[in-house]
Amino acid sequence: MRNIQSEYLPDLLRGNTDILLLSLIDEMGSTYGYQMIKEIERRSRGFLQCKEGTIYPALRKLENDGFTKGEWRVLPNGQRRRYYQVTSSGQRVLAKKLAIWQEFTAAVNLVFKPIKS
Amino acid sequence: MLTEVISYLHQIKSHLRLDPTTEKQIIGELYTHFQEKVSEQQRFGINEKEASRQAIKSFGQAKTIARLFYEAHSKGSWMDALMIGLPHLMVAILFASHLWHHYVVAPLVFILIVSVTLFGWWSGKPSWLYSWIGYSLFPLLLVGYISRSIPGQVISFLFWGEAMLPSLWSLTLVISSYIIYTWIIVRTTIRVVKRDWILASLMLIPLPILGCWLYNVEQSGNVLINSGVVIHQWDGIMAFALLILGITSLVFIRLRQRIIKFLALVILSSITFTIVAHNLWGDIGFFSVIALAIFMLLYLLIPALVESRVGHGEKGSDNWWQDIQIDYHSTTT
Repeated sequence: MRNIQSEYLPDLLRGNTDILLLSLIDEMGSTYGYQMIKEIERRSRGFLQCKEGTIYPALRKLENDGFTKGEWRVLPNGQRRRYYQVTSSGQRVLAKKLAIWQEFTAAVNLVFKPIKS
Repeated sequence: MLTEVISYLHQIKSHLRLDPTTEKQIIGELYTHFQEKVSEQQRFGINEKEASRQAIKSFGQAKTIARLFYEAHSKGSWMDALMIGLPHLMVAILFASHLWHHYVVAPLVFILIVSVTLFGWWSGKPSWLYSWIGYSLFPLLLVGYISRSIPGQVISFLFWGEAMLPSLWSLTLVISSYIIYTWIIVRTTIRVVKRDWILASLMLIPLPILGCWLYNVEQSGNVLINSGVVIHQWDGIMAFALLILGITSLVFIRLRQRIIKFLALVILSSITFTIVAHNLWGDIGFFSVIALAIFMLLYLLIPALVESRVGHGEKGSDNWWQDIQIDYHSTTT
């Protein structure tokens, strides 16, 4: 029997990677790819384990769409890291998407477990 | 950093097909990711080789990651779309106003096109540049085609003894200009192919259509001397065709997926070529339409064939790994 979780979960994640990343960057103020990967895993208690390589193109897409702004910073050990911050346009999109997401999950939950009138 | 990670990053880079600066930044960002990931795993007691292997496994397939990066960067802005459509529009206006034959306006337009091309070439080769390059190459083909009678005379004299030999200086001039033109066209095409063969296909789309038109005009009289109604009879259809090519370029730059970009190029340019051929050569049958579409498909695939021979990566990018290490390596990891 095929593992349903391994098929269904990536589909769910794929459609929501941008809102996850935007929300994390917005909350953390300024963050970088590897920190976000670890934070998603930590907050979801290991449930959300996306292919790490898909996070970076998603971050680039958000930046090219003008929702985030990336900048290189040099660390004390000489290493360079690319940090991302949410732009005002990204904040507006995030607010709209979060509202839709909350309405969507509420509606889905109602379908799964309807309110008895 | 272990050779497995270096080789993995090399695989991603070989499939990116973006401008060198963006490619370098992407690989730099991934390099720092692997540095941190491997160091963290080592702190948990995993040896470097195993940590690198796990880091690569959790990252995903190199080709898929490269495709996602390409799609994240390949969609141009509306300003890029305007810029990429502009040379098509300018030449279409030249045809629509019958001014392509004007001895001041036409050279001015081509000088402008060549100037913008050179500016774009030396300022990081933005994605809109490639339609400008196509039109910049056309005057070279035009001059080469018009001056073909001189080498033709030599061939006739040598093989059939029919024509008179042209003067030595004119022959030297024509042959040396042929060598220079061929060098410029081949060198430019290879440089573009090394960046991304699909951009070379975009660059080359106006040439067969302009070539067909030039052939027809030459059949009706000399393109430089004759200014009568005869040689202007196809101006309307050429303006329309170049307008479609402008829209094709615009669609191309606004799409993200590579395969859709290529299909848009093949389908729209085949339609354009068919419309032009129908107007230039009279009624063409169903099989001719199919033949034209196959011709366009093969023509647009030539850069892919060239890429398989010359490889990917612009001049100077062979040292990319050393550059990444210098720019992104930490001193304490």
